[in-house]
Amino acid sequence: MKMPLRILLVVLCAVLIAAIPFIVSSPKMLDNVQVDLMEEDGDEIDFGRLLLSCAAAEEDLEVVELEEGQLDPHPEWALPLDFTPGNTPDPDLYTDEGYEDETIRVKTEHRQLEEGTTAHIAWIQISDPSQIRTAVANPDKIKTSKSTPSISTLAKKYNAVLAVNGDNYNSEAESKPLVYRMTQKVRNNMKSDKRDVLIIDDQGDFHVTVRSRQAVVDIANQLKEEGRKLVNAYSFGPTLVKDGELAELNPDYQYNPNRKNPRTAIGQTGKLSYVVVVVQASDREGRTGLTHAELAGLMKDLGCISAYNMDGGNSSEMVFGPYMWKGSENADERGLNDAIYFATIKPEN
Amino acid sequence: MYLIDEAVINEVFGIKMYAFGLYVALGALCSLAVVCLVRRCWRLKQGTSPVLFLLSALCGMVVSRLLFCLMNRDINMFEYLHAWPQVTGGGWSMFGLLGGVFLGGWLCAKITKQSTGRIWDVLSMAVFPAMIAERIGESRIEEFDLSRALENELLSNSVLALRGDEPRLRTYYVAAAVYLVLFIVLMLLARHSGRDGNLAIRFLLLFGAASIILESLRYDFFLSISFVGLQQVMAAITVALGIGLAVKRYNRPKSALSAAAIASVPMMVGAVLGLEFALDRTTWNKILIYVLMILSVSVPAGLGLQMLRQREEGSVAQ
Repeated sequence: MKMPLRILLVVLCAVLIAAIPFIVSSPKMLDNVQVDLMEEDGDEIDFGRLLLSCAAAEEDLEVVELEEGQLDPHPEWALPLDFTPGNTPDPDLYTDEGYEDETIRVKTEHRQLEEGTTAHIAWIQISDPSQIRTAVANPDKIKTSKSTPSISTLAKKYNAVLAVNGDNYNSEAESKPLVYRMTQKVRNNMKSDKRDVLIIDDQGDFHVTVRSRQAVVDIANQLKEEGRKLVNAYSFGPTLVKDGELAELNPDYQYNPNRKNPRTAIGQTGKLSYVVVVVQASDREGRTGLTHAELAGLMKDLGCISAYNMDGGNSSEMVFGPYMWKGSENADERGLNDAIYFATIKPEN
Repeated sequence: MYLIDEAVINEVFGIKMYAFGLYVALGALCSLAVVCLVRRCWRLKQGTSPVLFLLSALCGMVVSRLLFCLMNRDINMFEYLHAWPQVTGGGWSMFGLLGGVFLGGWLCAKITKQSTGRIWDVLSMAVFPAMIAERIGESRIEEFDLSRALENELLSNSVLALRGDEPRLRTYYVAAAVYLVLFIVLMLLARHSGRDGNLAIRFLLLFGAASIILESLRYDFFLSISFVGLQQVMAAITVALGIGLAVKRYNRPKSALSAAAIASVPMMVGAVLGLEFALDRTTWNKILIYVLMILSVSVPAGLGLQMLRQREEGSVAQ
């Protein structure tokens, strides 16, 4: 090879090496680039924005009559609708049957449904809608964080009285089109009707959809008309119970709908009243656990007006103070992106 | 020059640049030095070094980006074809890089009319400095390439652990250390390497086997199918390719060693799948599982290396 050509090639090598620091920014796609792509050409549903500060929201609170068993409201203690942790629960108030202070009441129950299948059930009553919250691994990077702490770590970090796994929202992100966390939009790009959606508004009420993008639009319009706002939205599903009736289940829904599996479900039973269920299976062979249809039946029997299936299998887990119930007893805690939790707002001493 | 703010940016001599890219550039520079050194020792044709570096680097970057876009499961990149060339936004595949580098080596061999095996032998050593620098560069990217939460106190308190709510292993440091060891091993083997291409086959076996373990340590849901990482699948393919080439070189298809080597690949895949399942879905001792995994991947790698050794000794005896 002639000298001038060799010199030219060496110069090209130097140029290439010098260019790399200005081209190669990261081994993975940068968060904003990924988010921009996912939102590109998106058909976003307008839920409005939650602009009210906590204090302003308090002034607008209506005086409502308490239903039987409801806790006295404490709007003055409401938590901001952001990633602020709850107040620290009193460890002395935990028993294996529940937890109770002025602002939250939890009762736990363990039902053996059949051999090898146990439903760990928690009934929760809260005094303020701000007590039902979502914990995320990294609030500063909610849209793309791959950080996966365990539910027990999230429960501790956010001072949860009770925490349960959510929809693991940043895993297989594109398949989860409508995701909000504590009023912050993570994704709002309903491209298909494949996933049922659970929306929790600023009054702590559940709104569920069944394979319908239009239903999500209707909920958005309804919330805006009623002056309500979206706080959390989950895209896992399916919806198990809607308006107190069994929802129509899709036999082809994701993650083995017809196979018995460990499961997690959350439901609303009344005003600021909820039930959380973790179904524990003694094996992962499909002999124990529940199918989607069986889980829907259980949630309806528990008195749910709305109920929704969350991530199951080894992700299924409930942490209640010192107690922990997992879907697969013999597996380690799985790292996940998020947890739904209930917090106390009783001021700390 | 416009840089994306979100990326980690360093200022060197008053010039702002991507921190990760800086590490990669330094690694590429070291790789070029290795190419030059080996070319001189092995008396390859003059001018081979820049041609090889340019072709390998360019092909490596192109294939790395292509493979990332093809395998990205977070976003269906086929819907965003216009984003494929937008490389400054990040998104590269290590195995794609390696594939491209060897493709560039093949092109170089054709252009300079030299043995492809010999060129690939050079690349087998030269890729390591770049990969080591790339892995260390990843330490500047938060929340990437971390392990499951550590249960072992010794590891949790070590410099390899990233402390936080739950200590996690910085697997990029482990990978960099392993690559350094492999680099030294291959440099030593290069002195006695027999037929052209044998060193490259050894690279496939050793790098593939090591990558199966290293990729298993990661737990960031990046490019994975259930509990198996796509990079692990690529690593297993690399080992299988190495075994295939070693069996071909050994040229005794009916021998017990060849049969054992071929049979060891599906057995390794089965064992690794089972162990990955155990990692994800049992409370078994993790260190014991990793010891078993190392043994599982050592069998095909060891058999492949043994075939090459026997073949070389046979050639010398003849």
